Amino acid sequence: MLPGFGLTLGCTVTYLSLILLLPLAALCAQAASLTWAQFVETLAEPRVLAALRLSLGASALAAAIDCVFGSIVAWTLVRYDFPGRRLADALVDLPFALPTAVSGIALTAVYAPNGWIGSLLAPLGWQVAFRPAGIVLALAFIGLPFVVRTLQPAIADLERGLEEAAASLGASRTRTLVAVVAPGLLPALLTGFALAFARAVGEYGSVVFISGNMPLETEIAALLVVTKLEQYDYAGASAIAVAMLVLSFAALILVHAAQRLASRRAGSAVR
Amino acid sequence: MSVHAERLTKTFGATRALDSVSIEVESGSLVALLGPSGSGKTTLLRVLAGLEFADPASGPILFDGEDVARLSVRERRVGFVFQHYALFKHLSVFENVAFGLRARPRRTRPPRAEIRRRVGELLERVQLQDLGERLPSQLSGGQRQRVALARALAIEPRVLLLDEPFGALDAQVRTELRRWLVRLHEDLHFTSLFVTHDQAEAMEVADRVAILEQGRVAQVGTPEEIYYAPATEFVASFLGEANRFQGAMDATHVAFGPWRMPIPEDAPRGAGPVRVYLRPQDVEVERPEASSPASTPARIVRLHAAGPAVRLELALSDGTPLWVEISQRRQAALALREGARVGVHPRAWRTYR
Amino acid sequence: MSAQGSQRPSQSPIAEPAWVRRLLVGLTLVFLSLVVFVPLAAVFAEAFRKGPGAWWRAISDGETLSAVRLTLFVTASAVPLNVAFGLVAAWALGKFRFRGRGLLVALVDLPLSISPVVAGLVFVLLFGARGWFGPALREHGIQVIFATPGLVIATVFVTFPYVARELISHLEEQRTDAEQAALSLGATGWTTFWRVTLPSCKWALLYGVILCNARAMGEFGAVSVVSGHVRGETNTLPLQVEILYNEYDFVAAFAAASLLALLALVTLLAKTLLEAHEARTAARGSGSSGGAGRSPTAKELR
Repeated sequence: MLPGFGLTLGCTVTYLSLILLLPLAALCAQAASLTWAQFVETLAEPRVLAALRLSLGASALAAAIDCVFGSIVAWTLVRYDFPGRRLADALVDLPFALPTAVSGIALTAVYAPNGWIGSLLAPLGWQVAFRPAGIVLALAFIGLPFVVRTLQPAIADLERGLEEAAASLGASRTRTLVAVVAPGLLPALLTGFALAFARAVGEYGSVVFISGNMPLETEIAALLVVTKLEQYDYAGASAIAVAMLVLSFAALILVHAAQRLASRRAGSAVR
Repeated sequence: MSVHAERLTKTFGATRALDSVSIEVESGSLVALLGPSGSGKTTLLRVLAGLEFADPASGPILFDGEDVARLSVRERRVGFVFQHYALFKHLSVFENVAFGLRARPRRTRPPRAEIRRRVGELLERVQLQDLGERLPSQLSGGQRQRVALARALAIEPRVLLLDEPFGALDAQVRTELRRWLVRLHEDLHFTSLFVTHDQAEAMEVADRVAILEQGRVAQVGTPEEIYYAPATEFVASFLGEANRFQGAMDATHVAFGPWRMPIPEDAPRGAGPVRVYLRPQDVEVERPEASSPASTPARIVRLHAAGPAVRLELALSDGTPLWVEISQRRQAALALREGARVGVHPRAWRTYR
Repeated sequence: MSAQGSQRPSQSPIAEPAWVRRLLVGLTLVFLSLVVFVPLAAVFAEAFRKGPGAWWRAISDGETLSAVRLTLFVTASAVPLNVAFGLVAAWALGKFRFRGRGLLVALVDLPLSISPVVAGLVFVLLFGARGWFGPALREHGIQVIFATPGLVIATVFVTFPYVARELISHLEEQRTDAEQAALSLGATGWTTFWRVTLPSCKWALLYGVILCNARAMGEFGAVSVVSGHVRGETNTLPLQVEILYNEYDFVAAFAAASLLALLALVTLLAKTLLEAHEARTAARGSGSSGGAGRSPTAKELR
């Protein structure tokens, strides 16, 4: 047996307690200082409800968009060779590496009505920045690497024999993709969706610049937490924070359960 | 359905996997493609299936006279059984077998009841009638392989192609499944080719064996022909064991090791150096006192009596080792022991220049 | 060429027709350009809109420079703390199997699933003027929130998983044979750690440090909540970007942002090089694979 178990475990638990558990306990205690009725009332306040609904809806939509385009991006990066493939592959990580404030002002600059792309959309009557569409754009930007990086290994691990078998049985390429490839990628896609969604629900930096922050319209939950805090409404801020945590944990737990189900179906001998 | 392919060449980058291969398969026969890894046997199978396309200069691939070389795998109607089964993990056994029928365009797709009936029949044929609702992950290796076979047969293939069909199974299941495949083949009489690197498997299962070497067909023949009359030195060295000698031939005799043997009537002649292959079974062992004029003395270094045949490791008088195999009965008659002296001479051998 | 790719006999049966491939590649390039590349380019375009001189004046401005210094200080405090924690946690959680280990590993990952704003909020609740410890600390003249210590603590909170998870997953994959051998040869536990374990996981450590460093320098939400935005004092570089932007000083905001974007590009480059290095080592058949190696999974990105 290696030495040092007690010492290192003790340090780990202490550090986790001080940095992680104690602060979270403070959050729970603060939220618990409200009665259940007060808690519900805080969340049911129109402005809060609108913000939570917006965060939830925009996050789900953004994660769905990431799933569509992320699938295409991941597929082409794994399966095809084309000029610029390595650069494109590296670019996928950028939303993760770029500080969120920078992403926020950059997206705003590009998609504002006078920006490079915004000015092209404006004549069509489409405004992105300072609208819910802008929030979805920023969240899709932030979530993209999660979907792509979850799908890439899954696509690379697809057994080519399955596709060849489907072809030898006379299935068209489309049918092969729908009936054989897609079910194989579904667990990874679900995971990617959940990761992107969980990240998006709490996202702040990349959204506040592009969202316009109009109460009831383009104000996200994370911003409302900051607003409440600035008004010294600690309990209100904590209630919203708890609601956000519950949403993103629920997404992760749901997907975890779905994955377990899927891996049980596929069995241990998945070769 | 007969298969006839000519001058198939396939290059991957700088490697030539197939080098102008021609092959002829009679309708209803079961042919083994045998060779070491990298000999092109799997590539040949995949080219016949349409999973790979041969280089443009290649000749035709005729299924009963119809050139299918330009048809895609979807249009060729070949049954292909993959080495690792390639079963659809998310579909039940029943749905796996029904896949090919359901995948047909609406015009030619059989009605539901008909699909149900045909899949049921096939599952019965492969003795899996009770497991239709299982998922592949709930089956044993041998069962999976049978599902893969039923799935391939469901599309009523013109040819059945099997890539190392028993490669992933353990020894006992392997033997069972081999015999089962031979029986199935006798019942249904489909034309089929299978790839293997296992000589025993090829010899036991196939009507005819094609030996591949570096992208070329070295020899095609019945298992007996291949074994007892290897056409090339490669085939002789690849199949079974042989004692190898450097020898010399003159007009009437060939000299190798301690022997100088007359060249048989039908054997190739011509003076010069040769390499001689002498199979362990083709060596006559006698008591030293009863030895014939051709015999040369040898000493038994080691004797392995386990198994159907007795294997002897001999040392000729100059110390050259010689492997010999004799029957248990012959061993009993001669009462051989390690260290004993015997006389040996070759009964049959093959020479290559 | 034509839309009849599927008819060409040279094509693999499990590839999409050529026109579909071209369409998908086109979509990939267009999507990545519109959503990722163009915004990145915009950062530098906006930063240099009024020429390099204006850019230089913007980043050599006193407040921006002090924001840079503060960011470097916060990072230089948080990263070593997290490296120390990462090594200790990796030893306990990566080399040993015990009940409750799964829970601890999940706790290590937890901050990645917590909104940065909430991460800031919890420390306000602890150390704020009306928090659990705020008043007591204030009596001793210690201010945490709206001061540098708060920035460091919040940064530690959001970044500590990066080093720890890399090292834990690296040590999990490794067997303990080498350590056992060293111990049987009479080495002390401490020597074994320094001479055997640490060298074996140096690449995973470096990978974790790079990710941790990038997040620490770029963190916005959590530090925004605890900083109080005192100009020249508690503004890190990302917060300075926000202030300049909200004051419509776009050239200065983007100039500061360009420094952070540069940091992101260096991070990506380092990450790519490390992954290539690991791929080469893996190809050479050396069994030591680590966090640095595998093509990154999404979980590692969070």
